[in-house]
Amino acid sequence: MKKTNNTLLIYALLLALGLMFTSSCNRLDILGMVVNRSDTEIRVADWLEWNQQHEPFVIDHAPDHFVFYSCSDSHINDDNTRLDAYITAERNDQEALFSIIAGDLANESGERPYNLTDSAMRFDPATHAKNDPCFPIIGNHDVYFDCAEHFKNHYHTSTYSVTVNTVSGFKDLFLFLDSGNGTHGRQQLDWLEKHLSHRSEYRYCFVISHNWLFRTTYNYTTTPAANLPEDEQYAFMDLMSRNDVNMVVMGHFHYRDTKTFGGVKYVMTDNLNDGSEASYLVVRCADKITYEYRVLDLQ
Amino acid sequence: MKRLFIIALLFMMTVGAHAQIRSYLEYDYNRTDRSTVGFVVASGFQMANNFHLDLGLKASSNYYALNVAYQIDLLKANKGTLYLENRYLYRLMRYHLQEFNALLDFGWKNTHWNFQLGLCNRYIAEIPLRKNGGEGVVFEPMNVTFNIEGNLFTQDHPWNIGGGISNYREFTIERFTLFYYNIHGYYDINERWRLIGEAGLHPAGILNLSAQYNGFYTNFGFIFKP
Repeated sequence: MKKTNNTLLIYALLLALGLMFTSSCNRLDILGMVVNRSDTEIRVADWLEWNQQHEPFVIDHAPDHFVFYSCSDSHINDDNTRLDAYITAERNDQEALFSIIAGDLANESGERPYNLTDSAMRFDPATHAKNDPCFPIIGNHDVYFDCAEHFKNHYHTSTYSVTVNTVSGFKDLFLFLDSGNGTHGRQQLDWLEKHLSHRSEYRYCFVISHNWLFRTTYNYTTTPAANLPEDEQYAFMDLMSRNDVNMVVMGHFHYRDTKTFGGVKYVMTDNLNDGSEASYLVVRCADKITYEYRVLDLQ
Repeated sequence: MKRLFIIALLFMMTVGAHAQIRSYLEYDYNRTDRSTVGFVVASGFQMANNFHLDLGLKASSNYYALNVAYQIDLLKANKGTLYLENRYLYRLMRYHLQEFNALLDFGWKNTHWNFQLGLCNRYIAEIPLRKNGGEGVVFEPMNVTFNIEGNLFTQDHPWNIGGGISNYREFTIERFTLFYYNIHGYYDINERWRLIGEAGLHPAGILNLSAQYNGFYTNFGFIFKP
């Protein structure tokens, strides 16, 4: 009897394992724990190649005092209402210049989340006062299954810079990074260092990446979410401090957190896709940088 | 000079006691730092029947580290030993920051297996240390640590090979979402000298479900029992 029970237990475990790895679930890529679907270094080479073939993003004639919006973890399945509300809020804010989606656009395999993201980003004269750009980056959910290929087809790059030139001649630098695999990779850090070597030419400098750095509090729904490897995290923090980066904007852990270390403000936004208190970040660049979390208005 | 003194002190403390000296060279490669090389010297002391103390120093091209750990055997049974381990690890990084970790875990070991599960509190601080209204220090509480390792033979066998999975090494404690996969082994030259070696992989993004190769390490050295 005992032997039969043990055999049943083994079969049950094997079945559970089998279900985990061949799961019909198209949201959590369990096999991604051991199988590399899309390598950061290869992806970054693609992003940089695209950048070389295209002009860098520049926003000219911006006011000296302006605002930008940043959200993360929109995690779209079949509904883009929340992302639409976020984009609409930014495009109806007269002081705002552009918006950011700091990774995890998708919450399932296939192209649908990206089509719905595009749809939310599309200018709608009926509800939008102006057609501001929206700059997305890739997150870990955007490299599950076949998602990296869809991200690439829709947004072309996730390692890029945006320069804002103001009317009085100030220049502000925004550097967008790919941390979809929980690491930036050497190539991207080299790219980042190269851009930061020109830091003194700019008034303010912001770095945007998906993967949050610290583990200071817990949200038990996303507790397993990974940080950068420690060595990389410290190298990254040192790079930010040495180059006087003003703010690093991130997402990933689905809660709000801020830390200041080495003179750099690290800010994390929560997930846009869930709960009545979902929020985004509104950053004001003026004589100094200020920011606030604003709760998404779904009315 | 200071370092030499500490190493000499460790050696002197070891001589005559129920103790051993362990030393190894470590090569570490990861995509951020590329190659780094480290040198470790450590001593283990069996202070009492159920109390073991470990002291270790590491100098690498990336950091200097001091590790102090003790183990208390709580329960000895035929099938294994339940023990408590308390570790303190300080690292002075070349990245203008320092890190202090305090780890407490419970372990269970027998002739072939060792399992440990615990919690680690960590402070990350700027160099030089300045509180700066709380802005120069980051406190990360209650990081889960784990270690699972198995060996082919018992420890009294003249050679052995084993493997493990863990989120920490002697001089690095990762967050619980980042693992080290390792294989290790030893070969006894005689009763006093034992050659030791280890090699491991350190991928990124495992619990992001988007794992990828990030780096590896390997070390080789000896254990000497005076």
